[in-house]
Amino acid sequence: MVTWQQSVLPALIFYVLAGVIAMAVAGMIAGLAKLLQKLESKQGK
Amino acid sequence: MDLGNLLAAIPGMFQGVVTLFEGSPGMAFARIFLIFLGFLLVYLGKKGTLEPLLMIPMGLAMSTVNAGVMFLDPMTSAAVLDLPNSALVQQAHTSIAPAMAAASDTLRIQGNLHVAPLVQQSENLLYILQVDWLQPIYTFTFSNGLIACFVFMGIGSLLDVGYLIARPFQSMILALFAELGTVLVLPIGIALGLTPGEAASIAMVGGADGPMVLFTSLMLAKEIFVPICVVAYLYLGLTYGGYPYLVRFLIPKKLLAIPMRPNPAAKKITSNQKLAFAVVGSAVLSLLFPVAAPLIFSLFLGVAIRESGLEAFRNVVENVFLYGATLFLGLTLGILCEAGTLLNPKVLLLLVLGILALLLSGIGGILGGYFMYFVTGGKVNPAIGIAAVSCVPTNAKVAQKEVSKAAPGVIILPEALGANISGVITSAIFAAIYVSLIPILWP
Repeated sequence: MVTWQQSVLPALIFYVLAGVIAMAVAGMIAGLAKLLQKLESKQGK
Repeated sequence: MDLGNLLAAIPGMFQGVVTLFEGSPGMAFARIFLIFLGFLLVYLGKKGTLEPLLMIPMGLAMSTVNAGVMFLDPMTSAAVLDLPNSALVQQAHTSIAPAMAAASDTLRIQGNLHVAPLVQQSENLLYILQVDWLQPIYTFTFSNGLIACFVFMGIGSLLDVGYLIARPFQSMILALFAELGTVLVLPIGIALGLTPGEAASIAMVGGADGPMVLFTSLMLAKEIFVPICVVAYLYLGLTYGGYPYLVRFLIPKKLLAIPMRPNPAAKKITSNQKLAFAVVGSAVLSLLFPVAAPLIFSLFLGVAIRESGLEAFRNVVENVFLYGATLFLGLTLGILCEAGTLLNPKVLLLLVLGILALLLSGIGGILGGYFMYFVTGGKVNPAIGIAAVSCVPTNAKVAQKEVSKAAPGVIILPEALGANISGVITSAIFAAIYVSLIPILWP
């Protein structure tokens, strides 16, 4: 039987983990957008 | 011909009524209540208070399934009860042996000819598939999550990810705030007596993403996934009617009227970039979360179809898959609202926790909106926070509607859609975390 006290810390860790992953995804999106813009502008030239 | 016997048999024709008096009073009351609740859902759907696409089929199915209860024959009763195969075969024999008719009567349970959600054993399932008309839809699309994937493909084809690509960090931060209910309801649910899997499943309602709730509850709380999904979709229908009040209550008119400058970067993003984002995003998120890969893939497939310019596919995904799946989703959910299935002692708790999760996520989203407002020195309208609660595109529309009421002419829809799409991604992240880690943490 799990008590709520035992679940608070894991819930917080889940939130932090989700935050880290979400920021990594945002970074990936930003990086990819820049890369593709560069590639497209090169192709345009 | 014995006229007396004939007259005595006539009431037996109207089994929907007879079963009301032969079961427990509590069950009869629950059935009548659900019949009227079905009427109410259709009315509120037609009026536009609740999402009509879901509520009209759901309400109609809910009232019909609770009206059309009948006595099932012994063979069907044994299959619905999911008795072991040997018992089923034995029962089949007794049902055709007149001498054993009395014994078989003990297995004449009340049920319907729509769906039997609790049947698991293959022999019973094969039999029920030939009896219940909606069982093929339930077994082959609902209980394995295919219907959720169809909905996600359709949603993907509606999404312009350019708004997310233009401001990825802002959108993701807002979406993280809007997952407050998804996080807080996990310990609250456990405190109120749910198992970690059940608490995580109902906490996912805070992500306001029906397919994610369906998926998580199938993985973590299969025994109560029917009531969890019913509660989730009922409440998701409510966001359209309820969140505007939350926005009006928490954001003063002065702040609602803040104009947002259009981001010039959003216009520069080409369909090639959006397609590349869909391909890489699907691969990376699937690499990180294989458990959520079917949903992630379906969403990005919709995006890829849209950005590839495949109009024939887009037409199929957007019109046939999305609307077809939504119709059968509403229908199946309504049919699952049979009093016998819903009279679970945990349902009341799920109702409370579901609305709490949505409320906390709404508050979290608006807090996120305020956070961005202060961080950017007042350049962000806090109302876009509510759009980060991922119900796509309903909450983006809610945000725009409330802003338009306060200041006609102010457009925040593009930024709201960016936050909205991020909400889908963060919901997928939470679903994947819960499905992957909870069984390891609390086996």
